[in-house]
Amino acid sequence: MSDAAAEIAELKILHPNAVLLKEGGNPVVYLPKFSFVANGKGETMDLLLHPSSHSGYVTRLFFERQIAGRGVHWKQHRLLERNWWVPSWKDVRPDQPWTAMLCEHLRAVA
Amino acid sequence: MKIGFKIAAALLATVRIDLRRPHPCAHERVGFISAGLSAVGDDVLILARSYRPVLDQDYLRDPSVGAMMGPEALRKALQWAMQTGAALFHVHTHGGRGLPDFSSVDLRENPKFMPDFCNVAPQSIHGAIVLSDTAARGQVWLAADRRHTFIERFTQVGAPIVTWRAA
Repeated sequence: MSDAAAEIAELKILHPNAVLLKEGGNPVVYLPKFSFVANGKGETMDLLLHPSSHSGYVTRLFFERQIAGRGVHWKQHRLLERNWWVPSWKDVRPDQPWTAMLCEHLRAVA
Repeated sequence: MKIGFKIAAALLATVRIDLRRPHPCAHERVGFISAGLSAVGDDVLILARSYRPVLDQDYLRDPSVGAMMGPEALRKALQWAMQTGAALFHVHTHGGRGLPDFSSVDLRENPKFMPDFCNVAPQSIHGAIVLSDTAARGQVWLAADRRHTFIERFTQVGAPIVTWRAA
């Protein structure tokens, strides 16, 4: 099993609807209707985890929409023919399990 | 709600010819048909647009089944659905004549991967089609969390037009 296949299998335990896709030749994980806590409230939206470098960051987590009052310097990017929002949140290491990477990114909006 | 599937005879012939090609290790071939949707009252008409075969290198060697798609095959198809918003239908053939049935393997495996298409492209419906040399049968997923239903009527558009009931 490839690293990406093993990582997506782990993420599917956390979120069974997680889907492995590719953007620019790099694996990305689409997390439809992912539920998490942001700004002390429950949120549900589509997320896109980019486990390799993108736009100057070593890994990134893209959000379907901005979260008011949380995250800084939100910018919009287009991936997989969709517009996504991403806050500035750096140094989430690529050499860790994708489940841990996802949780670290979610701290940006917790 | 009744679900119909309409496909040009030339496209269907292309699919059948492709699925008959031998593969180095798999016993049969699979591919994906993309389609548009049209609502007719409460009914849905699926209009086949194009076909993409699963590439030779995207099969896994698995003698226990006719054909086993690898993760890249599935990833490419999911991405096709997501980036175009099209309805996608997994297709393979059992050959022979008359209305084909899904095998026990099809009935076990299709529900494992088809709901992912509803997750990446929820604006469309998706499904699986099994062909014979003269007819077809189809399953349809309306949403990831719902049990599949069946295509009721197929129409092969050509000269002559051929229709058959499949559910």
